[in-house]
Amino acid sequence: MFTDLHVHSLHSSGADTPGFLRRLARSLGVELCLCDGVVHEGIASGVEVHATTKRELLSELRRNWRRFDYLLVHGGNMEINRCAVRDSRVDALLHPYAGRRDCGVDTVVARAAAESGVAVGVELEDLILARGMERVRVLAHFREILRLSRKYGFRVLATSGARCRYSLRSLREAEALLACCGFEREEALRALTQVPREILERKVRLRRELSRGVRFAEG
Amino acid sequence: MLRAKPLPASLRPRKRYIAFRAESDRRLTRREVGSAIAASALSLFGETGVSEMNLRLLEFREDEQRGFVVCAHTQVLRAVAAMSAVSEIGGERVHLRPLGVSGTVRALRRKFLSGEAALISSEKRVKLEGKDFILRGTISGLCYAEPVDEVLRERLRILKLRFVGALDKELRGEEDAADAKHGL
Repeated sequence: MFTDLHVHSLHSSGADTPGFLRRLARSLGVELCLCDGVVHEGIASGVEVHATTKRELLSELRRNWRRFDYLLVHGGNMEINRCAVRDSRVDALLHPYAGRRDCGVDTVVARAAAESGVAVGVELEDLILARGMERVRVLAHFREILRLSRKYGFRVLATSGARCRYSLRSLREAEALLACCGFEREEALRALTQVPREILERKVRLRRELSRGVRFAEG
Repeated sequence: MLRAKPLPASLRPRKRYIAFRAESDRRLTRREVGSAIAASALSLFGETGVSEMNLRLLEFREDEQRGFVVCAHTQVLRAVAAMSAVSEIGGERVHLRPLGVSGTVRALRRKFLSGEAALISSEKRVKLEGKDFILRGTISGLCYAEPVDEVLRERLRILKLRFVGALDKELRGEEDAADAKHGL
């Protein structure tokens, strides 16, 4: 099942209520997680951190990371990209290519992401809404991120980035769109299903810990 | 005019039919949907790619907003990608949602194009989270409401939408809202 970690509802910048999106997502076979910066009952809730400086990013991470099921960082600025992938509180760095000519992932970011386990996110909405040369650039960025992920072994996360009902995509559609950027079937399925599940399970595991590395013995 | 002799079955190109539903805040026409699919496929895969796909819109029922396309049997993924990449028609957000793939038109109609919940139009004033809306339509418990609030209307304009999507149980009619006011 496609677990979509980046969907906005009416509570942030979206156009539909969480209940509406949830029912629609269920009919599409998508597990919905809302990234509104609000805790929704019964739905995995996350936050997308927007920061312009490293200091601001760290302060946002400190403030938010225990409150939400997962934490995404809006990339684009190289300083933010590097800082985000080095911090294990971050679950994924989203669209590191935003507003850039390159894909926003260099060898430093790629190595750090592979070591810390922070996923690098690509957004289907960026591909769908772009036109002409802008779409060409987005496709090239997706390909470059995939190529570096094959080389350095960091995880790639794919999300819809939906702000309305017409942006939600089923697993089949998402897989077809990723195939346009060179994703093999297994790679696409991993980015759409396995990586988001790992992100959600990681937070559950961390919450059981008393402090870093110390947890209650089970049984 | 002399017609070409049909190819024997073993030499005919194999096809797949993909049923889809057009979702939008307004009713779309066959012409609009056909050109949107063609433009999207051309933009994503280029002329050479589309010639290999053999992608065509065969049917689109404007009353149900459903139809199907045909493509080469090896190009289903590309056809789905082309439909999925259609984001707007006439300046408004749309989505051509694939319903299923079949090898024959008959099976496609039986499996994916028979029976659909109808849209019930409305003009009722409702409230959602304390804000006023005008309910425009409901389909299988999913409601489409037009906001009265200017801030929300502006947000929808940016997103190229007309309506907010909500569940019927989340909306309160004017009578319900009045009841709530009197503590009933």
